[in-house]
Amino acid sequence: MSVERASGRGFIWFSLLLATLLQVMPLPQLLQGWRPDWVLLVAAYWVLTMPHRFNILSACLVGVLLDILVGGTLGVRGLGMSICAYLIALQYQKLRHFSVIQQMLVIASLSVLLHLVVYWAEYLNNPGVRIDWEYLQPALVSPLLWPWVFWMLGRVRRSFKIR
Amino acid sequence: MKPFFLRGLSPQYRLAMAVLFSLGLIIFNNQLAPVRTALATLVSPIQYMAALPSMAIDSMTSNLATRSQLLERNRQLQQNQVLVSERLQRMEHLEQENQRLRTLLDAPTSSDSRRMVAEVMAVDQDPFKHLVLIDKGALHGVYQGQPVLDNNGIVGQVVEVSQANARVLLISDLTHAIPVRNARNDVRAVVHGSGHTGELEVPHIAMNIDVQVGDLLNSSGLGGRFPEGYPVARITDVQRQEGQTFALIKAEPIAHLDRIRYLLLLWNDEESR
Repeated sequence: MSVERASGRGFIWFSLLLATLLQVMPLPQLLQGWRPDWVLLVAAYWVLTMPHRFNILSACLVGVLLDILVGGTLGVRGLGMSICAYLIALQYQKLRHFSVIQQMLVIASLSVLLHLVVYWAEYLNNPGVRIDWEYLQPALVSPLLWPWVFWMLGRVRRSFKIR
Repeated sequence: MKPFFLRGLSPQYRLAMAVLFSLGLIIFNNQLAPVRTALATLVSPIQYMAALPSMAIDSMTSNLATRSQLLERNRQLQQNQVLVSERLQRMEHLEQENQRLRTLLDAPTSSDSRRMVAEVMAVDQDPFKHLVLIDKGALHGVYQGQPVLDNNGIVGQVVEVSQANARVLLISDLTHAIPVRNARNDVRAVVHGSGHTGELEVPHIAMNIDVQVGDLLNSSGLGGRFPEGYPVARITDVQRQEGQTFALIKAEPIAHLDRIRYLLLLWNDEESR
């Protein structure tokens, strides 16, 4: 039992590590602004399907790790990620039965929320920062990837019997 | 058995803990700098792994360059080399002359300092900060506050050093400022970053001070952080609105901040001793 449990948790963190790699991977200038929120997608999946394994505090830790990697103010993405995880954890039973389109809309709004929280927290530190619409582009791309992430992680979850 | 309801702490409780934790980190961000450095060293393998694909593509494209392209490039570089070495000869002569004159005047002579080439590993994604990650760190003697240049001019300074890499704050960052001197008439100024690549601001220049579009601004060496005499920016726009105390002056960085690849790290004389 305990071995199974450990492997399940290991896999969750492994998938998040992969998402983090995708998130910080250098991209050509052209695609830079359209980079989807990989970490948000994967974390949202785990909170949605396994809130007893992966929850708000874990999401917060992942956010802080991301802060260190992208060079932001420490804790900014931690704050955003934990708020997003909270919103999912609050309604996970309902969200699971949503249609894919509805789930995509939820992901889009979470992505907007994440970026605005990050902006707000950076603003507290340095009131000179400015944003434009380009800053919210990831919120258009991320939901498009949600069905694929959902299917992919679901397959892996079932084949590894993570519960 | 998968629990139907969540057990343990309620989500509200967890959220409160996470928010307090994050806010604590945000508020004590400056005091936590050493912790951050340690953590950055810890996660640097992830940085390297993330940079692998783009490095592989880079090396693939350079391997796949055709023979004629290589020959053409070689020819160009050789021409360049001749031009540069001619200038270098002249400069060596001038430098010797300068040293002689300085000794005559009993002024302290400036000497060559240590330098090292670094490669940019990644441009940080945080849209509010202009930081790049370089592949040299404390192991190579990189220190905080070190000036960083490229082949055109000053790029920025090192702000965070971990064991194997370091972060460079570009001069276009909102929090960056660098003391400069106008090459045309030696007027002193401070160039601030604007938060946009390719745009700098020159605040606090009185209306009657002679600044023109096209003026070159060199680092003045005041403040002791940046060495003297390297190009920083060129004035692109001067607006003198009536009723204002200061002129509104914009400048663009000489270094191509959006296209940097190889950087030069300079050591101050005191630091290298």
